Amino acid sequence: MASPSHTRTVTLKSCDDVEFVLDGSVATLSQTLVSAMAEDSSSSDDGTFTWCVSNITGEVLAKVVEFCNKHADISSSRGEDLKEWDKAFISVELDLLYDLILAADNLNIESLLDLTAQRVADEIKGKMPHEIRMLFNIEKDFTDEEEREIRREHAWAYGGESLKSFL
Amino acid sequence: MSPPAKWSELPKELLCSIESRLTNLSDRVRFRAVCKPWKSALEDSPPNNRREFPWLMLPGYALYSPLEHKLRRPINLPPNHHSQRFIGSSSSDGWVAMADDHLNITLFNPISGAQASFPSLMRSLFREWVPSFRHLFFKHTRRWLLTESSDRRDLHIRKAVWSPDPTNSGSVTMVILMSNMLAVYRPGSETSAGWNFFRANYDDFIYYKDIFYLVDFGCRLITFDINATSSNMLQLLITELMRISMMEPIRGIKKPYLVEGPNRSLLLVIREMDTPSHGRWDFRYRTTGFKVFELDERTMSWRRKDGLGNDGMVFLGMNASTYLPATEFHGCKGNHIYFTDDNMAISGWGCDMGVFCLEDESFETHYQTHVKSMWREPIWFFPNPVESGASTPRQQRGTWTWMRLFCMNLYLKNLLLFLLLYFYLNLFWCRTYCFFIIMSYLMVDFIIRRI
Repeated sequence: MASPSHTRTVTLKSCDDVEFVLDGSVATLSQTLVSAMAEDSSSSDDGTFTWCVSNITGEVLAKVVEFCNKHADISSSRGEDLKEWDKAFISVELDLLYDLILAADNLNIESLLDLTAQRVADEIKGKMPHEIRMLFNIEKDFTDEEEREIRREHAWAYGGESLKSFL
Repeated sequence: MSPPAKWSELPKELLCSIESRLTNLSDRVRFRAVCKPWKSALEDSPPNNRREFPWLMLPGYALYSPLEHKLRRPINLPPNHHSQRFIGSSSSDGWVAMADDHLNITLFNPISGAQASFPSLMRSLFREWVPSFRHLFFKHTRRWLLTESSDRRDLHIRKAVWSPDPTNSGSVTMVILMSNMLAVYRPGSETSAGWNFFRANYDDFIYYKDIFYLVDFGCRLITFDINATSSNMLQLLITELMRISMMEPIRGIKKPYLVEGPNRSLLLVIREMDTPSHGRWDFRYRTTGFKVFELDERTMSWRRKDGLGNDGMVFLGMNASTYLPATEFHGCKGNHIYFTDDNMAISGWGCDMGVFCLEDESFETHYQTHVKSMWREPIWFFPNPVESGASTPRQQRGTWTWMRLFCMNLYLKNLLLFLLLYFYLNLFWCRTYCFFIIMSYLMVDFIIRRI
């Protein structure tokens, strides 16, 4: 029988041994933690629960914890304020964004996943494949031949002038 | 410091999640072209699995995407595109139907460049009009030769609609609404040229719940069974003649459109138009408003609706009228009607288009520049890059085709000459020659009828 999770505190441990203490209600944002706590509830009696996240560094975990604290605290932040805060929160460098999106996936935090995926989509919008590669530092693994073939097949997607330049 | 991010190794579900946030089809296509892992991760879901906001196909064949604010040119245009008019587009398969002056119908996918042609409508029509020598002589020849111009107006195509998903059945059933008749093309009817004609005078029609529905000026709804061959195939559904116009005063000219609404309901949108005439030859018209009705299937009557709900968008014009939910598209407002010109007066005008908000009855523009075309109107089309296979009914060009065409031309042009000669010879009592000439004339007639 799982005890109500908000009575407990959760300790998150990153791969470089940085520890974060979360309130139980904050931890419920993460589906991974919820299911882990439900499994674990019978064995621990002291009200604390420790969870090691093996592939997330302390720096990233700090960001995730900051996000969770903000979003769990419904009373202080709502609606427009929260949107503004999210916007400021997500304007990070792409390397950190990559770690964040993986962490959100790992801990299964839905709202963070939404936010990060939307940021990546916004970066991609309206860009050509080579620009996307340059932005995300991806190596081109298509041969020239293959690339030409793809371009020829969907030539319409590469063209297009903005209406302003057309007029 | 963490190692540099390896974006190409993103898990599949994250890539899908990112992709679902790309609203434009072109973005989704380019997203796949970045690197191989991304491409293979997204292989299960084709880029066109989501609907795209309709684009506007402008008279000069430029494609305008209102969400991207970009203009594109189609890759390869059909061979005789200068003389083609747009007559219809379907929301399900990305084709645009076009017709030229001689009523040759072509389907064209502006994105992939695929084309499909149908047998000539004019030729079938001509055959329909030449049932027998006498008939031709007394009725249609005169009509055809003397009042050609007015007949040409009868041949004005209002809209073409075809049954959805031509890939499955391997062929397309196409119905074309003309001024006073319906032309139906059924697949597989190779003995005839494929087109059948029915006298009918309707304003708009739609393929809804596997049946074609027609509506006329009085907002009567009529079903049309495509497979029936007898003449009573047009079945009157509603006899609420003119009831709407009596209950709801409608200003100026009105034009009804049938739309398949949310939850498979049938909507009737009435477009009100005004002619701010500045002179006798001023045929310009302007849309002044829209009214929305819904079919009440219990009482079989039209019920007035205030609007399309918070997330309804309707696209009207020469295309098959389409309802789309605004929530599917980022940054779109619901309860709006997007309309283009659909050549109400045959003289053409081409610039009566815009966006109508049903809530406050205001107009906006969706395409900034001034479109003016005397005979080709802009049309909404629904981009879909996947070719619909080789489902195209081909035009059969047998050995005799050119001969037939030649004969027919000769026949029409020389008909008067024959007659003149006949009377002239009769006048001089040359009965022998007269006999030969009549015989040859009958032979020509026989050949024509066999074609």
